[in-house]
Amino acid sequence: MSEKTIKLEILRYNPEVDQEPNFGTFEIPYNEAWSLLDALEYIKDELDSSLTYRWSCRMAVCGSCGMVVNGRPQLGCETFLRDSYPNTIRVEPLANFPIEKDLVVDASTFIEKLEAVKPYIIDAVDAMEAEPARKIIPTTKTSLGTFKQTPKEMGLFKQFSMCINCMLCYSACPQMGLNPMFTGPAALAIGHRYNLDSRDHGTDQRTEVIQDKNGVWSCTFVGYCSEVCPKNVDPAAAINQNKAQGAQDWALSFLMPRKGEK
Amino acid sequence: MSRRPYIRPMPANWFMEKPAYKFYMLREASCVFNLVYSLNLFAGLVQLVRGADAWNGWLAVQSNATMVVFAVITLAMTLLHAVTFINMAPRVSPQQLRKMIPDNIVRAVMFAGLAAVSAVIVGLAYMGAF
Repeated sequence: MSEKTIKLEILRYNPEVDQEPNFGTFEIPYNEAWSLLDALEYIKDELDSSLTYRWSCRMAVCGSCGMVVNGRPQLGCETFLRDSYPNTIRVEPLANFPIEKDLVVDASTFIEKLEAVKPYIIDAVDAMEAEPARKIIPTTKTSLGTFKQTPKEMGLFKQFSMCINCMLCYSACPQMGLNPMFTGPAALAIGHRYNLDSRDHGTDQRTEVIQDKNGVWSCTFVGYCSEVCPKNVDPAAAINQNKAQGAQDWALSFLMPRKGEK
Repeated sequence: MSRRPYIRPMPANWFMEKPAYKFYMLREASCVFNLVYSLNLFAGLVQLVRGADAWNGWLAVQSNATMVVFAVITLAMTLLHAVTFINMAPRVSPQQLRKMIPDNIVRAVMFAGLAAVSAVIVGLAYMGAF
């Protein structure tokens, strides 16, 4: 054990006994190579086995260990003790979600919002089945069979497809706190990702959710979501591109009420 | 074992929590200064229509120290508004366009446009056009 130590203040909440969350302090050996996740594992193994938190991959891929570190939403596995040493590290669960226990939040509303934007490719056949009245022109000859896509077509949406559903952006967004019905940065960015996909024909099916008042119009471009995103998805850009598109569609709806169809 | 999720209340002064939120509020507040400045300018226009005395009265009010300070703050807020607007604008443009023109070039063109328009206005003011 090294002589140096570091203090962690962790927001604790045990639903069986606590009326409200309170900070608990832990002093652990300081190890320059340790991530915050390593520190939490040390506490759980050596000091308090009741400490509850989510984690899986330890390499910023799974998106499980999102937490608020010194006021900033971050992945526990990507946060290192050496960046704070010798100062105390303050750890809280993600903001704007109900706390289930300690650092674990109830993410069920996020999953519902994610499902609402239909985060999968809706091909021409599926789109025709969903909307028989609408004339759907397959974007490529192959879209009824094998999907083919050029690197340029993929480049259009690739940035928005890097999302790992870690929900740091939901924790960063004050509009999320003010309006819990807001679909939120990640789900809207993922909806945008599929709308931009050349293989997809589901834009019309997503519009109702994306252009809703709880969709992109609940965003005021605070922009903090994009700052905290560990994958540089830039959800703020995705959302606000949809506002521009929505405004254009609204204006065109007066000029072309049948969308160019006869 | 029963669930009892705890929902933390959002404080009314949530925007004081983080520097990013404070900057956001400052950015949004810049429009208030522009609104008041525009209303004042409109009042000046009304006074101009009403005649020389009314116009000179409005001019006298503008040279008041409070109004000068207000004008300087409004200028600073307008610049903040312009800079944040220009920095955000390319991110809002359609993704197809973004892939053709890098964001930094769009920003550079917009800043150049802002500088050109400002230079023309300042130049005209120096030549006594106003």
